[in-house]
Amino acid sequence: MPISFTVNGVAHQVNEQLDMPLLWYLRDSINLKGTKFGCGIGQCGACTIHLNGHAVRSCSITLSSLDGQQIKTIEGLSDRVEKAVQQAWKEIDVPQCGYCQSGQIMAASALLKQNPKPTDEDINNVMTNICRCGTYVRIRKAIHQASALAYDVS
Amino acid sequence: MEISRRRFLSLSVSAGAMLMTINMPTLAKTTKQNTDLSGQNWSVYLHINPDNSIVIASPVQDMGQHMKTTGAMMIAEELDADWSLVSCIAAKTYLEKSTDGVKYKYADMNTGGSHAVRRNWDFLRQAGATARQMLISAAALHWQCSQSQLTTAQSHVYRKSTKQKISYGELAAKASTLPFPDGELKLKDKADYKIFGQDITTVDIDEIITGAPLFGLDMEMPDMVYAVIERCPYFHGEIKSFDDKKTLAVTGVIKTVKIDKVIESDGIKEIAEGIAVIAKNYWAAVQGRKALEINWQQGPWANESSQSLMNDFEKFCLGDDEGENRINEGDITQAFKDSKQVLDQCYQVPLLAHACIEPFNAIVHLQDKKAKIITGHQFPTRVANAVAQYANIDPLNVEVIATRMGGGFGRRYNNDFVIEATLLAKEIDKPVKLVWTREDEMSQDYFGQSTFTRLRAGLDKQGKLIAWHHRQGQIDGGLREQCFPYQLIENFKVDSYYQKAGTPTGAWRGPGHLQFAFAVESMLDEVAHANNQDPLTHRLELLGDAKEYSYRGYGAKVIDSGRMAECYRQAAKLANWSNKRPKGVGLGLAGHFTFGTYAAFVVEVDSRAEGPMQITGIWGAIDCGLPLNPNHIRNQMEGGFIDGLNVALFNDAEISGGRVVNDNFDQQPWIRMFDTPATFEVTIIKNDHPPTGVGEPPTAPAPAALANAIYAATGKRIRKLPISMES
Repeated sequence: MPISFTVNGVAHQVNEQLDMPLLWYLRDSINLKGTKFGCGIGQCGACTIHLNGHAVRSCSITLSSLDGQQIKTIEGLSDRVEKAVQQAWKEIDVPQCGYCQSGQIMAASALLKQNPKPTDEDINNVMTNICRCGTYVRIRKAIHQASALAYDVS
Repeated sequence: MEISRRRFLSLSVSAGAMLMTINMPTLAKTTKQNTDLSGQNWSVYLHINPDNSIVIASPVQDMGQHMKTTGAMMIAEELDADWSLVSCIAAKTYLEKSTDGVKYKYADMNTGGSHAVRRNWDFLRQAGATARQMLISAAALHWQCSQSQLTTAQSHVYRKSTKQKISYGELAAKASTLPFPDGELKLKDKADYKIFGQDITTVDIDEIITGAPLFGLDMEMPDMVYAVIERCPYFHGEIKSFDDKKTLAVTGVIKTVKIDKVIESDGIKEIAEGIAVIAKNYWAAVQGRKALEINWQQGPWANESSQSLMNDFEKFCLGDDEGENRINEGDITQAFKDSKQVLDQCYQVPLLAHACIEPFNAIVHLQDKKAKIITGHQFPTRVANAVAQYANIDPLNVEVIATRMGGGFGRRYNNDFVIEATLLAKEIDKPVKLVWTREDEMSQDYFGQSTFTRLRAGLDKQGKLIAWHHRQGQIDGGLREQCFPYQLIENFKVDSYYQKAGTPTGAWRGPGHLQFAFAVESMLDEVAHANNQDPLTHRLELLGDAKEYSYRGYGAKVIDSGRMAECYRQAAKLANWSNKRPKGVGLGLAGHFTFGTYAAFVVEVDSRAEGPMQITGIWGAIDCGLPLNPNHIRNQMEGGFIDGLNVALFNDAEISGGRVVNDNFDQQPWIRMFDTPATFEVTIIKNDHPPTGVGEPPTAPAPAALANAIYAATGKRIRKLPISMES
């Protein structure tokens, strides 16, 4: 049975290597390199994507489980909140090496959709992605800034 | 200055008009990687378009230290460019023959030891100034006037007498045909800087926030295959026997290749023994690897463990063996006899994992005695030399495409992944992309040194330090004994001991500095408390009057007690050091000099609530000479210190039975958002000293600052890392 799902609104159908994690399908089969490989066991969050709007670690879900699901990757960010997160990341100039940041941005944009005005404690609880360079101070600032950009009426 | 001037002149002769090019219509479509630029008439560093936009090829690649941005700034500043018109790509790797392989033809592309700013400071500014001078010459020809009437600003040349201006873009075509200026190049006075001192944003920011391909792991070559390697987990171990039948039956697997271990003459592992699986895609290679059946021979280090190594170091430190004496000044024996009080304590730092967040990878294609390699590496000449050696070709026939790196921290100095990919490329007539897993990265690390340090400090009856004896055991690497308090205490002795071991060690972010600073800055805190003295006051008294001392270690020629003292003062001021905290809350101070840069931090710990103690504030001050990009200096102060806190709290690569035990983030916890306090403030001390690096210096003070804060909050002294915050 082929498995059908969408990635950034585009329909995909797969019928082989169904035990392959979504991460490698995104990176190697359809050449979306923005989703990163960090640990392969769901610990670091570099591979975070949106699965039906929720932040999920794509190294830990296999293609076989994706029938009928909607996937969004960093390349597909487009709505007001998502753009605000990217803009805030730029204004605060969050990155050092930058490798983990697409996962951080995916986690942050999912957070801000569920919780438009997160407190530091909310951020601590939800943002569990590892930044090996330790840019946490700026990630936290950028999430608050993105919240303001997305939701504050100017 | 004189040396780099000569280097630049040689560039002028050999590079010719390559310094500056014009009209490259495809440029707008190129990515930030140089992959797509090969074969084009690309200039070494600088391209000025007719529309006045500028593309700078930045020579030193980024691993998070921000040098891709800083390098481009150095060129743009002296070019007098409008930074808003500048975009930045990765420079190609230009090599020439050296006595032992290849070296850089132009700028030094290496990054490590916080040297990239120092080594490129003169060279890249001169490149920018040369281009500016040629644009002025072109403008003088254009207006038929004397060059002395012309000035530049914001990517334009101005003619004072007629108030005319012309853009660099309009002049570039003519300028690129002119001879290189001879005579002295005039570099800008500090007062004329327009870009240095500004908060400049990361040049790759748009690519990073949109997930565009930037890193080695994101790269591809046409028709490439994938490889993974199951390596012997035991240090210097071997394959006793193996069966790859099940592997070869996995759909997509092409072949397996046995990799023989290579141990260098000094006993350090170059590559581990293993079986590689080459497949049509990564996942097939991983499945093939899982299906391998291998019997390992444990090798000579099967009894080695983190604890056995620490025991060896401790035995030396507590014994009478002199070891390798590194400093012996004054009369240490007499000074301890004369001391009214002697503190004698030991400090331990475990083996440190690198955990570069982008696991290692390399794509190698060998064809007709030529090689092309795409990889993220801190030392591209080392890549060229290693590929040449293992492919048995001329290193000038190795094209190295150096990408952005997902972390380096010294680990991307080693060549193991480059050599493995080269060996595999010899086995198949296609480009091979070797990919490491996280488990590979953690189990095949070259760890930061574990150290056992015994410090004895002797005080006279006024409480003044008159004797200091530092004894330290470790596997390899430097001690950093040239740092303070050396030259501040009259009788001073440093002995070191190196334990031969199978555990591979290497460079870890400011190698040796963190281990040194943890011991020394903890002991200084103990001395202050033993004296009933405020730790800040004690540090400042010890440092004494501002004075430049000679420094015979790596990365600096002098060490300045005044600059160090000012960092302590500024960090303390930022932390409101003199405002007494409530009982149960404590401030800890620590500072250190790393490779020419001074940094100090104050940490606040709150132990009042039930449960673990909390880090509630961090305040830091840095003196890195002239601050080039305050935004990125602050970013390094934040991230570098947090990496140091990760060492204080978590980083602990565990060896048992001659192999690594904790090989992923489930077993090796790592610092995360909830460990990072909301209050984190940084101040940059401004001065006119030449700029120095900022990638490593913020890291070393962290463990001692935290341990000292815990002491201030609870009275509990911690001398062994990692620290548990459970009170």
